Amino acid sequence: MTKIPSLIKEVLVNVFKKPATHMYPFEKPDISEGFRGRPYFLWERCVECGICEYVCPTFAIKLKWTEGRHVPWYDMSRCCFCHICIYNCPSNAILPSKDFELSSYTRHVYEGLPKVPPAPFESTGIYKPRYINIDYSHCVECRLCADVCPTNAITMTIKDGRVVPQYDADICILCHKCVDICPTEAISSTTEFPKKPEKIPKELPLSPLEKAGLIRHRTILFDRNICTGCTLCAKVCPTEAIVMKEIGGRLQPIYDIRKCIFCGQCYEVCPVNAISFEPDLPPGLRRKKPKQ
Amino acid sequence: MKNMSSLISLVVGPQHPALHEPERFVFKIEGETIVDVEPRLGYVHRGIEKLMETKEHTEAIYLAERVCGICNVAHTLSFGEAIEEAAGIEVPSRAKYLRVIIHELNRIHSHLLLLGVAAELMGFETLFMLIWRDREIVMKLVEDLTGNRVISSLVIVGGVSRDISLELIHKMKKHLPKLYERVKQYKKMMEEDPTFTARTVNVGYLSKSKMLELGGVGPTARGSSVKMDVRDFDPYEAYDEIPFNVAVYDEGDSWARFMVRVDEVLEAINIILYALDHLPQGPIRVIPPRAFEGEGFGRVEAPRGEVFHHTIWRGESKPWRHRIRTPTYANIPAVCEMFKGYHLADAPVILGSIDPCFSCTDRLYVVDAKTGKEKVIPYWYIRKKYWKR
Repeated sequence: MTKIPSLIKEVLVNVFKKPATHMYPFEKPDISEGFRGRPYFLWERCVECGICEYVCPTFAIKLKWTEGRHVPWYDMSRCCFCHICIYNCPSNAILPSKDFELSSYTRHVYEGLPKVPPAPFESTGIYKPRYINIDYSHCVECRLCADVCPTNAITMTIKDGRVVPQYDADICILCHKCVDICPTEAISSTTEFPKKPEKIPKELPLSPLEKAGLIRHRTILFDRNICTGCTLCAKVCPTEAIVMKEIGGRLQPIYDIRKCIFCGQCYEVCPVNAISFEPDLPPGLRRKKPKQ
Repeated sequence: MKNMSSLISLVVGPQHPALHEPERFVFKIEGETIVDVEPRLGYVHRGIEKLMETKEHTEAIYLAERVCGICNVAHTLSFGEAIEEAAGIEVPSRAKYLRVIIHELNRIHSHLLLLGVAAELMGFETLFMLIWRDREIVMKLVEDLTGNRVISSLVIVGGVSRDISLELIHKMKKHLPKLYERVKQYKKMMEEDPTFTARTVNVGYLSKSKMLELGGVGPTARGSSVKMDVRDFDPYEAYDEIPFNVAVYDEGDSWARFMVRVDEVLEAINIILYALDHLPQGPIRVIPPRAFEGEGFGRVEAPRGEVFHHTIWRGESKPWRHRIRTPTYANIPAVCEMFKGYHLADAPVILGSIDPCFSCTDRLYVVDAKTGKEKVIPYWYIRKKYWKR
């Protein structure tokens, strides 16, 4: 003879009770006070410090240049709703919400807001540097700015017969090291972000050296028949513009004109006089003569 | 020859209705009786330890949380303990008590989940529904405290992310004694009810000496009268100030392992009520350094057993090495021993009695195709042989 199970009483009590199931789509559930839902961004409070981007574990926040401001864009499909951005925001520009019905028919991408309000500090007359201007008519092509840049936002390129710095606004952190170090004050910062930022202007003016009739650049030529592959020129080069590479079973010097500062040390050190100079850049890179 | 002819290999998994996670067991059966088991791990290997080396600790704690969704607090707590030991930080005492509260709430929710699942596995769906309905009380309290039902994100390195309000303390003191009464009723049911006892009593027996030999952890070991609880012999956070009992059963079968969990739920409610009464005032967080040098261990009693995080930092903002040891991996040899000599129909219940969580289990495993030998490859060997820069 088996005992009557004690669950029978529980079952009988529950027969006359209302069901515990929530009828979800028709009846909204009761969400508690501190629920971690979708965060909302307020750009009129944002001071553009970038802490939310740094602290986000899933890369759901990205700072982008929008109409002259560097403001956070938000990708909901990456967000893990940890609210660490809200705990860390210094100006309360991110608001928590209770939104949890977040599914959609299209894929989420980084989303901004439709309107870009002015920054909060601009109403009190304080402006933030936004962009670096390079005045190419004063640039003496010393490449100090490219050396000092911590994020490689300034790099050297060849255009119109000049080896000049080019500026990438997306990577720049506006540390102003290049402004401080420039010997001719050719680099300055502005508070206005241009509508179409371009890395380098289409036409470059004459450099101050060219105006004075001086030619700064020389092309280094290697006579590969005489070269013994002693690697002395690569060792003496201060900017690693000459690198030794093995080609066809022989060590041969490879020369990068963008890194060269034209100091002439390799010419002096070469034991067999395999290095020679030619005035100006190689013919293909020289400034084209204006059409008449 | 006689034995060979009657042995049948039966493959269960990786996709099987009785197992809720992908794992394969090859049962060698003779008639109805299981003679031998071969487990095969590694279906959900995700490379988390390697990924951990590319993240700073502010980001990596959210990765540690996702090792296992059910025992997420245990993993974050263990990660935080390891980092705090390596960096030499002392957590404020209010944060320690709040960590204890969320840890025990997580334990209640995990144990009630397992008891419901176990009841469902043995075809007792009424108990499953009732237990899961009462689990909602805990889920609601966790949502109030942390802001989410399961993934809590309350523990961060150096403390906790948000404070508990007075209203919530009153709410917890109101709801938890109700749950205590309910769980006591379930305990009585599980002791008496023939539907439950017929499937669990004297099923999956493992003696104390065998359990010590195979190295089981957590409630699995406590069911075989091994008194082993990290909270008891190596107290972390505020457990040295809070009195509690370690639930130990001497039977060693599946029933004992379930009853250990029921007792732990009752004990956890007492711990939370004690911690709420003795909650100290003060700050809830200290700011940790970003880069430091050192080595740290975090040992935490998760709902399934001991979770262990070991981290080595060499003065950079990212760890040089992070190692995670999870409880189910330690319990796999024990559960393979439990299967032997019982019917095939008992296999889901026996497996359910160790509370398996396979997504935190998987490690690197290599099988030599020619000889059929299996071996675990250590980290230095991979680094030496396969890493090319």
